Amino acid sequence: MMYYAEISVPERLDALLNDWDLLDDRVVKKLTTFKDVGENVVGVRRRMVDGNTVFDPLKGVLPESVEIGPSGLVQQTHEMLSLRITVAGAPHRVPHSMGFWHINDVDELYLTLPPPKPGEPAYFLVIMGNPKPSGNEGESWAQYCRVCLTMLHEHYYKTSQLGLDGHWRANLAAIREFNSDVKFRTCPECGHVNPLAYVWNTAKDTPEEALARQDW
Amino acid sequence: MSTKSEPITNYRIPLVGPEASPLSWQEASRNLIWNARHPAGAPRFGMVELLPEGVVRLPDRDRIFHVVPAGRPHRIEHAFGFWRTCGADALYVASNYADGVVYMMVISTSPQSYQSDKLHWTCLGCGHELHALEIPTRRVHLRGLVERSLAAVRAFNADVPGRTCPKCGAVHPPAYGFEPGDDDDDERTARANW
Repeated sequence: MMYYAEISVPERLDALLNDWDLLDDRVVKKLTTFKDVGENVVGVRRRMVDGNTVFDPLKGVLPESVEIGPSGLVQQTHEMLSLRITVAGAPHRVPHSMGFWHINDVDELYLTLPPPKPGEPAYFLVIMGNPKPSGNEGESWAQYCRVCLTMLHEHYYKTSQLGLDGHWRANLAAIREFNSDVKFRTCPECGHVNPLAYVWNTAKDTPEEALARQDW
Repeated sequence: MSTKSEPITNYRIPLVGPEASPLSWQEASRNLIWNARHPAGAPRFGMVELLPEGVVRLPDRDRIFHVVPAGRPHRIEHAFGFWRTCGADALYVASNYADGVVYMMVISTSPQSYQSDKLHWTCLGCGHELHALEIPTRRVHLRGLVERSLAAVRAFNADVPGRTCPKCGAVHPPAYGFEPGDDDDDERTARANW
């Protein structure tokens, strides 16, 4: 008995299935930031991973990511082949990579896959929902006092209606607004003056923001 | 008596090793997650999709990250004993690792358009559709999907005339559900076969 009438192709037919393997060398280059892939937004980073230590070629060693949970800060360890989900609404950041707290209305999933060969970069997958234009979802970039976790500043971006394309520009504007006046950085509760913020893309850093990136 | 609890803000789901779930499927926040592993050297799962042109098989690669668009019938051979047409995109990952191959599928339940899953069987000889059913996944969640699919499998297996193709006469082999741990002896044999 034949099992099915199969189409046999050495490569998937692009006309049928565009970008059918997101880890293919020619495709993965398009995913270094984020790209709409159907109902999701996908990013793939190539990073050196040694045990639980992650090394980004531009940002150096990336510490564990951090979330603000109901009881305070929660450290997230990097682990190969362990799916992580940051639930919608949870403020989270990666020190030295994201100089702000990201609060997303959709879940974010992270998975690290082993490198092709020892000594080569691993694959760090980031997957999140792709808000539909008819939806009401967005995200915000927030600043909290480093001492007492009081919220200092928040900029909301309605991704569903404004789209992913404007995301980076709006993020930069939010960071620059926060950095523009020390009053934003001064905690109204405890008086602590917080450091400057910075965006994800190191190429956008001012000299002062580059210093802040080294700090926190 | 009430107890105080905090909302869950993050999940850690090991896909390999002693902490990996013994169940194939789990629901975490607004995601359905399927996971399996094979030891090194064991035959790999095949992933096939049903297109108007015929069945397309994902080639074996050391690692692959593929999106099955919502509405496209697909199955993972030896894991899904039927064609599944999901109302949301299904993200499929397979990767070699030190001890073998690990597989994962993630489906977000967030899109409002994801209301249901369709399961169906086609004749393995000629492709004629034999039986189909729809499960209202948004309403019954993962547990209902797994339970109802297994019930449908058992009804299909018990119905030999229903498994017999009216066009070519081939008898479809018994089917099996999502969870290997739920298999009876016949379903375990079927899972090994196709």
